[in-house]
Amino acid sequence: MASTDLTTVLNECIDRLTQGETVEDCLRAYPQYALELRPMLEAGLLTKRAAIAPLEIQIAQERARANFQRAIRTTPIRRSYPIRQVLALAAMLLIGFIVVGGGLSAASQNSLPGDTLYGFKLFGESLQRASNGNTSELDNQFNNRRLDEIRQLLAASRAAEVTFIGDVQIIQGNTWLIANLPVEVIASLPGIGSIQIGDTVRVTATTTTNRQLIATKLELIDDKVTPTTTPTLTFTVTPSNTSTLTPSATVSVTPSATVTTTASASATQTPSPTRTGTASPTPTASTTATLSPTSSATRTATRPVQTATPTVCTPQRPSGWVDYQIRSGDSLSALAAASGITIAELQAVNCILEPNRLIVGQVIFLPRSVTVNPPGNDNNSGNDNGTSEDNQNNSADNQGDDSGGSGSDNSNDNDDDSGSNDNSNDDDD
Amino acid sequence: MIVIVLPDIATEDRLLAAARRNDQDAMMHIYDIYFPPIYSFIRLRVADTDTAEDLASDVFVRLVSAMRSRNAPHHSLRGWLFRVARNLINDHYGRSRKITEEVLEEWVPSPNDPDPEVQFFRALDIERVRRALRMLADDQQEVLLLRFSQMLSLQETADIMGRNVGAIKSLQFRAVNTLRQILGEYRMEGERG
Repeated sequence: MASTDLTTVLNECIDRLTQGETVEDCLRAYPQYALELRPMLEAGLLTKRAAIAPLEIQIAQERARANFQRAIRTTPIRRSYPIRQVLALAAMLLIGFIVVGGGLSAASQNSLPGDTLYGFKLFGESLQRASNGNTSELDNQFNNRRLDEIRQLLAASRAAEVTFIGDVQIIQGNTWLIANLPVEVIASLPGIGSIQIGDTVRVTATTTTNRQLIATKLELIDDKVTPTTTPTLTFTVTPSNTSTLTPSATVSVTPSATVTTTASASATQTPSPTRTGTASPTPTASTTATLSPTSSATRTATRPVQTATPTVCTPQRPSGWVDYQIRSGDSLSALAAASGITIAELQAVNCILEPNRLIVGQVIFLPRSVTVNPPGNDNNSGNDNGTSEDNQNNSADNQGDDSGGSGSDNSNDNDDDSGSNDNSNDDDD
Repeated sequence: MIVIVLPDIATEDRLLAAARRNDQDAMMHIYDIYFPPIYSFIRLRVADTDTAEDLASDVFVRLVSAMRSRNAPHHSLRGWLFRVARNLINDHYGRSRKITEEVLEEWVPSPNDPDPEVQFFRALDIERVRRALRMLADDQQEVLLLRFSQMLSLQETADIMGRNVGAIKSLQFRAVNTLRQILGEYRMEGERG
């Protein structure tokens, strides 16, 4: 019954689905198989519908985070290289630098990130820094070189990873002006809630071929305020099923300039015994941990509100764009592909905090109306609630114990079970 | 409903390279990005949420160990993670677990009206879909989850499952059709009841 043809065509269609096309797109490409293909593809797509409720995933992720962090803290590095090899490598590097270093570092002066010689440029700078007393002036000079390089990369439409330091001049939606460079800053970047105009930041970013500078990391290196006290911050967040928080913040200031901030967020559902004061379940909440206290009570008072509701980014409809309501099965990549823009652009315009999380029913802006998904049936939220409640009772049990006991340590080998219960190359029934 | 999209390969390779240099931010980033898909994958194979959480946690603890030994993955972080997840699921169930694969009659679509089946699929509730999925043989569940839910390529899926692409092609064909048959049973029950 199943011809080899149909097997191949099915595979072709699954590939198309993974690339953001719809069932209908593929059926149009293979009209002669449409009748048989449609139910197969629809059946396969049901696995997507079976997806686990976001809340459940989030709870599991937060509970398991401690294990991961402990592993990072405690796992020793066992990657040892034979000492002789290390010495030989060091000697070669040294000789290499002495012989050709001068020439290369001169030749590398005009290189840009991504160029072969660029490493020599940085290496040359680090030597200069090491041999010079006034490093701050040098750093300034080198930072200006970084900024020049970025302008050149952007002008040449080249993609590369870059780092620079600059003052935040403007924050307008997701577009920030830092050191006179427009930087795309996605609202979900960790730590950005505490960054304000006037702060000096170290920016790690990538330039794109369409001449954008997209931040991948922002670090506050000077917030222009000297901390006088260490604030105690108690943060209790109970995430709702839709991950929208209704925050309320209370701030009390005592004459001794000790600032106590309590932010709480109420939600429709209580998923687990609430975790207090530790890693908070929402990405936005965690930024409050980096808060530095200020002498002015007003600034501190506004911050918890800022962090609980990301006011940094408000979606604004660019002219000509249309509303689109997220449906089950939609993905940002598919929507971006269907509307002919990049995922980053979609995120930027719509302030989508996490590119891999879309919520059904959420309305976003698209440059034009698209059809990426056949109308699905989304009456399953009730069931999601049911399953996520399953693990509410057990949340405290297994936080502490190590979960390493679940089997033999075969993490690296492809375990060979190809003979177990399938005969791999039959394609008939 | 959340749709989890894995990052593009270039981003993944950058993260992996940084993590191999013991960049802790990169490690945390990997955890943030990949926990949801790995947990979903495990959870759909393992009904119990606590077990799923433990296994998913274990995948990432093993990633830390691997990164700090000579076993660090060199390429395809997602392949490595899903492979470890898969091994842990298999260990959890034990090799001896027998799959009760029901033999059902071939479902033949009526040439005049292909829609009722599709209509029925769309109206199915999520628990029934999950139950039906778990009735499939292990490898059939895996192939559907990797190809349809995680949207991995044929080659990636083949690498994770340790088979060749031809085998995966016929496996996914059998998987969708077996799933249809199981759901078809539901449909008949519904019509009878």
